[in-house]
Amino acid sequence: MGETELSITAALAKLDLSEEEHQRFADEVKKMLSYFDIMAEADAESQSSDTVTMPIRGVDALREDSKYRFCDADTLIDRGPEIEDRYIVIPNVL
Amino acid sequence: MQADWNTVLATAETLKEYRAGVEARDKDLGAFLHFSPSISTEAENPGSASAISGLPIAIKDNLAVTDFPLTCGSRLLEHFTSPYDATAVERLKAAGASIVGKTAMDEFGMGSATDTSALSETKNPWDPNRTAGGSSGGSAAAVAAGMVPAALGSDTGGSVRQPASFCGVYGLKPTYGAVSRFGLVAYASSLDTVGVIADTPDRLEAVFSVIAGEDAKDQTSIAAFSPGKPPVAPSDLSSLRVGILQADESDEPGVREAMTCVEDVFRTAGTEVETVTLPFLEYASAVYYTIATAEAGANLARFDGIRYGERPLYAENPDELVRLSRSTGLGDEVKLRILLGTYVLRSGFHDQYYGRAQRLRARIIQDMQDLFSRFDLLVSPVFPTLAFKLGRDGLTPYQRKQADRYTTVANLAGIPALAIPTGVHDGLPAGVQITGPAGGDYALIAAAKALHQALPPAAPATYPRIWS
Repeated sequence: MGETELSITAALAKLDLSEEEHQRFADEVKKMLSYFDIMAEADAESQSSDTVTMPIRGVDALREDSKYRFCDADTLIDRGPEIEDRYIVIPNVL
Repeated sequence: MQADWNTVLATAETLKEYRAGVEARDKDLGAFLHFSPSISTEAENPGSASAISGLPIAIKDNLAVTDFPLTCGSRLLEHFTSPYDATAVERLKAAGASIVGKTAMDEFGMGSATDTSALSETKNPWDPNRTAGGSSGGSAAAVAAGMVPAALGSDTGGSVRQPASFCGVYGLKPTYGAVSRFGLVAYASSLDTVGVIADTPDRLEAVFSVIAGEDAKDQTSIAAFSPGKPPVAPSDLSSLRVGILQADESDEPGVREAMTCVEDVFRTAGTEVETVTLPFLEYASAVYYTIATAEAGANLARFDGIRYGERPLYAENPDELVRLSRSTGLGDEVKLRILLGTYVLRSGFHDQYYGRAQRLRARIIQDMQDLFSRFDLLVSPVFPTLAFKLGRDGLTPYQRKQADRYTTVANLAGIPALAIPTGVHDGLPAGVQITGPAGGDYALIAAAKALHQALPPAAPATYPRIWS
């Protein structure tokens, strides 16, 4: 992965990298990607084009699209760092 | 005379002794991030039907416990507390267990030695110059040092089994879906499991049978493990057909010795034993890291400084707020995995990495199913080394990732695997991993019980058992 590719990837991942981090991560990511190349040969040998996203098949992981009330919304709201009348105060971003 | 575990929380006096005992031990180990035991009304309750009633249990700090911290070992969540219980925790409490604290871990479960944690690095109770393993290193060390009889961990690529083995205790990664993931902070959702670390196979079974079972809050949980209905398991070793993974000469001598030791026990018991090879071990870690980082990139997008955790006091715009929160709140290993995961999913690279890994995962699942049509269980190493040294004298992050080849297979295939201590080699605990077909969790525990009789584990000399 080149310098530009790393910058694009970091922007997509919403990460700011310092110059030092940029250099370090470029080396580490490159090393891992060349390790991933080990998969190419095995994939070429395999006759199957079957793919797996979940390990256990036959389980219907979709639930009915219905609404329900969370048991205790106030408990969640109370975890906010700063609360005003059930509103969560967020930092100034403008 | 050792006192019973279910008496330590019974009275103010025993609680005080327990707290002092654990705090003294943990000062040097760093297993707990948070420790606040309280008196249990369930302790010494003779009318209770639960085998875990009154027991103090520790929870890895990526599983939600009401009003306890939920840091995931991350600076970003350092001051976050949970408003609810994970389903596994809720079930432990309902069965009368008492949650005494939260244990140290690699940040968001990403690491093999708890050293990617922003909050605490756990030392090995057998040797303070070595790692307790990771990412559930705090849970494993807490059990091994006799601070709790059992703890929950999470296992995405070996994070329960490797630290359990490094610390000389039992560690189960259940079948995918056997334990609800509700309340577990997600790392890689198709690989994540909630696992158990315990001092004996009996205790491990008692805890697992409480937390296993279908849960409406996790659509991937499965009903085959409804509490109280364990499938019939073969407890007689001679009735088993066992595959033994062919030795890899590059594994440490202590690792190979443990394999030979277990093979001898099976042969002596009259078990049908055959040596097997798994050609996909060569690329299993690559498949795992491609899929795990891709899922992590998506899962960790929620840590944006708006809905959770630490954030800067000021930002020019919402986008900057998110970038600053993530860049200052997340550690290097997490950033590396997010970058990798984002890259392998990008259009143009997707088929070369993520698509390829998914195809190879399908093949690994098929190969393991074929294997278990011939064998009841597979014996393999947990990790190519025993507990490695802390710091620069240990393994590099890259070496550690390659070394995950033995453990990642069970996560990729969604099958259960259990780390078993087999003895001590040069002062360090050694062990093996037994793996079975999906749903074979209780059969693995039954085999562990039989092996426990033949190979009773030792406690580290520095931390003799106070309670049993």
